[in-house]
Amino acid sequence: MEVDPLLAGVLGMGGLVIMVFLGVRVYIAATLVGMIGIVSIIGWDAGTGIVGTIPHSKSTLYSLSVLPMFILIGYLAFHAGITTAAFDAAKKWVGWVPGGLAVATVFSAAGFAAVSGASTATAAVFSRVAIPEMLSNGYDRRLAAGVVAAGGTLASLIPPSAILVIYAIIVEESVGALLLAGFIPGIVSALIYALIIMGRATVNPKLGPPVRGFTFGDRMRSLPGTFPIIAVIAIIFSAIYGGWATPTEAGALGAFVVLIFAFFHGMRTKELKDALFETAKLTVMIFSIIWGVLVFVRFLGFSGLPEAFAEWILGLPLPPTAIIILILCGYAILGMFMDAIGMLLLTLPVVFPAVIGLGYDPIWFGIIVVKMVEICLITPPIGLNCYVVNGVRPDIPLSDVFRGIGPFFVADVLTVALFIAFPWLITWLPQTMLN
Amino acid sequence: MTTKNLPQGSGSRSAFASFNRGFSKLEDFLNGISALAIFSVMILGVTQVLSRKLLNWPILGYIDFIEQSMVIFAFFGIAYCQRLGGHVRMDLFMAKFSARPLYFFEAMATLIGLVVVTILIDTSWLHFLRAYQLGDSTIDIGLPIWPAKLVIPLAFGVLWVRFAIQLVGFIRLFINPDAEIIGVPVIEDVTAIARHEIEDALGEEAAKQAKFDETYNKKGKK
Repeated sequence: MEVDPLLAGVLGMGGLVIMVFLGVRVYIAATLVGMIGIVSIIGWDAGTGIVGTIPHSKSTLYSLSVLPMFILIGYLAFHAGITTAAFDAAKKWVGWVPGGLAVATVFSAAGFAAVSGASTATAAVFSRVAIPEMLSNGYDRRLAAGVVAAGGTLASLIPPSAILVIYAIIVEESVGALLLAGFIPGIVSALIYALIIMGRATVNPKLGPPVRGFTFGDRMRSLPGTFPIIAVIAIIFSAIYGGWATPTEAGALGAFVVLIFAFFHGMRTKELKDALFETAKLTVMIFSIIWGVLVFVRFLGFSGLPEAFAEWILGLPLPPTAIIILILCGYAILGMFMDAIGMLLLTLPVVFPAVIGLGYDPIWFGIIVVKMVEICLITPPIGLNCYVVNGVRPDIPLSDVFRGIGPFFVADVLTVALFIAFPWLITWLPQTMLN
Repeated sequence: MTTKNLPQGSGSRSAFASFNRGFSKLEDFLNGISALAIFSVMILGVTQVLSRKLLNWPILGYIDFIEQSMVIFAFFGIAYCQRLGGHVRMDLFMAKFSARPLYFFEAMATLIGLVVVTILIDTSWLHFLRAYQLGDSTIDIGLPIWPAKLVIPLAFGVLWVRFAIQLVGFIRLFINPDAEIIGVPVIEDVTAIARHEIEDALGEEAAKQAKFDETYNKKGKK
């Protein structure tokens, strides 16, 4: 039976969407559609032969071995006492500015992001570390809850970030470049959060009074506790930049440093076992969806759908900026209903060639898309980070957490606009360091 | 969104429940091996960097070893993750269904999984056979590739049994929606997911203490 490849591509995409909506696991749905599609175009024997090779060939790529290392660093980081140390140091160094404790929360969350890639977990930890101190200093509870929920989102941009590695694999870009590229946008997002807090606390000092009275000695003494953060940043950056270790080796070294600190901080064998089990579970989940989606991507390659979609997008009578904004709005809506990794893997194979066709930089697009996904973590209807904050601090009603998020949501939209207007903010670091 | 299962039919003494419990132990064991492999990749990575930089003596075939061992953490935990409902899916619409239609669609989704895995076992087995017969080996130190390729149909075999257990579990619930839930994951709402995130970050105690603002949800639903 002869099937028009493009028609098969469109039908396959439709079938995939329906199956995902009906609750079929993404790795199964993508494999099934990919398999039927390939078989319909090139026949049963050749088709299933190709499909049978993909799970092995796509999950034994050395570059993917960095994923469990980064995930492990994140799980171990909670046991290494880094959050308390980071918040304490940030409080002593920047507590004197208007809204000082909230600004300290932003910077310590950014620091913690350097050893963790998980937004919700970061929000949970800072709910416990930072909110009590803000409330006891008379901070507005909406501000306190909002800054913790928003601060958590910095984790996905600042390396190590698992989601950026996955993006790099799917679109076949350099893992190192993507990891470096997330750094400045992460810092810019943190700075914009801090400016918004300082602006609001200056206009209305009751929102968040400054915290003063720390000597220079106090400040210096607060630094050693943050050593694991500095070590992990130094290892990952110098390894990628200096080329003295692969990302996997750098990740292994980073995980090892954090593990030593966690043991010193009182982590027991049971907690190490739990962290390793959780790491294994998350790793197999990510690998399954990667090979599943790559079966689907192989089918799309046969069908010619990505090229046809790119051609259609390029033919639209709209300027590229308008098209990219429309695509980002699409992601914002999808992100409200779907897990970030699943959403990226399902859409990128079709959307990515079109975006590149519009003349955008692949690294730039990766960072922008991840930032959009993060915004969805703090906006209704789901806004998982807000629920996490409310769960740890039931005394702060969810409605207050969502209201507290408002200014940070505005900050995020401004940040994305800034990155669209000045793309070099994202591309400069990887281009300079890797050339 | 993720889902997670309830305690595995602890009150039930049926053959189905005890098979599920026994099989869960095998899955836990395999995921444990995967965890161990991840720990080994960390140790091997640290040793490789230190040995190469300090002693100028890199581990021979380091990348070959890592690539061949990747199938362990890429596949050994696949059935464990399926049992706990850890594989990504969208349950936004599923969560709106009442018991019987929900179990019907769950059974359908599981059946699709069973069919896909059946074909994958066959095709990945052939892929292994080719490597075994041709004697494929790695580029650097010539490790045989077939053991890694054999892991995949075997892991899919374990996953096949898990899908079969879940299919029986959902059909059982479809026939009698009030029966005890055995061997299948249940859909969680956003507060339950938030509770798991809190558990991962702050431990079981904090997760138990977590309370969520019910009034907001009720208002939202009006």
